[in-house]
Amino acid sequence: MSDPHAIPPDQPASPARRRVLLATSLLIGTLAVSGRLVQTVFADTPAQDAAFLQLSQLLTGRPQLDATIAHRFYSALGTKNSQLDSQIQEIAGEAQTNSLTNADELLAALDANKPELAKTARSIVAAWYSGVVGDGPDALVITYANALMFDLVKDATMPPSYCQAAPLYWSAKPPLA
Amino acid sequence: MRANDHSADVIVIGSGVAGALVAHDLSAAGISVLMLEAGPHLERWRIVENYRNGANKDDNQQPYPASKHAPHPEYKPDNDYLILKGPDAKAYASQYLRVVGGTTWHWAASCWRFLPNDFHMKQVYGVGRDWGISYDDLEPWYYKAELELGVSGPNDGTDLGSPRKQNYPMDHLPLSYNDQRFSDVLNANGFRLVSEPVARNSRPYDERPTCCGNNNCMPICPIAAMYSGIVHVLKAERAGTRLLTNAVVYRLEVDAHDNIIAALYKDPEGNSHRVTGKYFVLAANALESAKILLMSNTDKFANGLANSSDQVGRNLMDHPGTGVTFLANEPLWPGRGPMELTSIVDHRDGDFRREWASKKLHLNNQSQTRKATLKALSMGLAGKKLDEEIRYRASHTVNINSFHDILPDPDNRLVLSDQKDALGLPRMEITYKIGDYTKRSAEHTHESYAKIAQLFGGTEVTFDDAFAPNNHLMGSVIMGSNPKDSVVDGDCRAHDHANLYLATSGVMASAGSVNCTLTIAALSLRIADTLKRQLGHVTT
Repeated sequence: MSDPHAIPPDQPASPARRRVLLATSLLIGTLAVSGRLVQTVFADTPAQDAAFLQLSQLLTGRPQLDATIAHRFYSALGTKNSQLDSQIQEIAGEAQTNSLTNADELLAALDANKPELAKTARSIVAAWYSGVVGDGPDALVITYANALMFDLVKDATMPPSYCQAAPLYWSAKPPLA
Repeated sequence: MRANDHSADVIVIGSGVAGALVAHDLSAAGISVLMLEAGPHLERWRIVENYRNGANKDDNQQPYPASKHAPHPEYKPDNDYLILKGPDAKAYASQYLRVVGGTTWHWAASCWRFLPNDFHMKQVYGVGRDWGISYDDLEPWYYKAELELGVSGPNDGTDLGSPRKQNYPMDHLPLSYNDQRFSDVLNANGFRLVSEPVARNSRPYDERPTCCGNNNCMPICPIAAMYSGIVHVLKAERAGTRLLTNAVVYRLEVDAHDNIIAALYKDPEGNSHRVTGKYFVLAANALESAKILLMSNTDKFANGLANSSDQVGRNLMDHPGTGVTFLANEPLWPGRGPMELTSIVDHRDGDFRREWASKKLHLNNQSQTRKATLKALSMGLAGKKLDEEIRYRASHTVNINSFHDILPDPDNRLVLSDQKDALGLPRMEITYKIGDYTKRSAEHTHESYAKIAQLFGGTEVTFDDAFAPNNHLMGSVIMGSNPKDSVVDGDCRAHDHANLYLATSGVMASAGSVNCTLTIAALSLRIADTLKRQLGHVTT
């Protein structure tokens, strides 16, 4: 799903805009059910978007990433790294050449041979997990509730400010690990 | 007389929990009230969106952008609103809000009563000061405050040291697994951990819903299950209070009999306006209230109003805090339910207070997912190892913090700076030093932290011994029975001005070891009662 809460701080959330946001999130939510559909829908997006999405899937180990959020991560990372496009190609090439199919192996290989690429790969991982690109006053929140970190723990806790269970649910025993 | 934009029976300056409670109570009794708020009105949904869209999730001020005409402290980045000096300057880098509803937009909602001995520190323990009133004077007002704010607490007979005549309005919320497990282990090992009374609904109360565990009490409860001052602002307006926002009071005027006759305020464009009333309630927070008194100096009152004692702006207190973080040897999953549910209370009172500060320790039940993620990312992990590290840290992290008492010291003070804000009003320069009385206690707290970490087989035990501010601003317009060394009397009335009342934690003459909001609320309701008598309205 796209992040339905991404109203820019100074923009009033008019009812019309809320409807648009809701419609968009429902549409994408439906389409994101399978990776194949996402590919189809965004077939006419720039090749760079597709390359970023594909590398993101490898680096996060998740085939079902949201293409809209991917585009926003890509744009934000691009403003901080002018080499992003070429580095994405290089990292993907490294993975393909060495038949590396998971993030651990890929990062280990990059650490060993191409440390500057490892740094970029980690910036992509950090973006997807935290939802934020950069830090300090320039940090950009791309998504909040849809950051992967929350997905990892959703059987136990929720993104703060969201409530997804009945009141007083918290006295029940959480998962053991 | 009906309130209009220029005049009312009672002028209330400040729309936080203190001012709003006074305004509501008086308006409900048919008294005309004009309430002035320096800052703007913010909608709850906007604050929630600001939180979700903001990058500095640890900064409770972030969702409340300071206005240019009525700035409040911001630290990320620092807007330098408070000019901080002295050896412990950083420990007074306080957070408060200049917006309609005040700082209880973001608070833990802990609603402790002070202990009887907190009011008589000099008399009982030979340190600090006495208030001039006792716990018994406040007890009925504590209860009324609990009713107004909607406090849930342990009705099972748990003794919290402050004798009660009635049950809490609501029973306490069930503990999270984290709090329950922590409580079981600590209570079996010589600590005393209790369920904390909080202004958070355990059932629908006062047209607000039951807490559903958004785990976001600070910086904003999305559903108003937690009390905030805005509740009584809205109630006061419905009862007839006239609220002026963006009205920055910068001077009180006195007549020949030393009575306050008017408040002058600036609008955001810098134009001055004047409002008149019979009584004035200064409820603009401990620092801003003292600042207004200091800015109101005249030939006769050269040191500012209410300041013949020279104590306005002095005796600044807070609850200097320390903390510890470690990884437990079992999953506890903080982040389920409200952000804080329990406290360790075995050193709130006792003869040790002659030598060192009382304190309260509290377990953090805030979600650790984000911090766990940032830490795991900083370790350079990716893939399955990253996922496992995040889950491990999010489920095993224990964070405990504390409030320590501090003695009132006249040298801990605020003065008006030569530097000015956007409206040309002086900024505040604050000098702060934390004495050995507090430091001795913090050393003992460090040992307690170490013991607790050991009980949970703690690893990566990280002590945060540098004193942190807890934003409980006290002492600036201190209460006492002697007009020569205090600013207000036991009724919170300025010794020097018969029709001026101070509704702020600034009046508190000792800091004790617990959050001060319930005491502010109780004192404010008592002020409202005094005013009703003064204005000839029957009171119950």
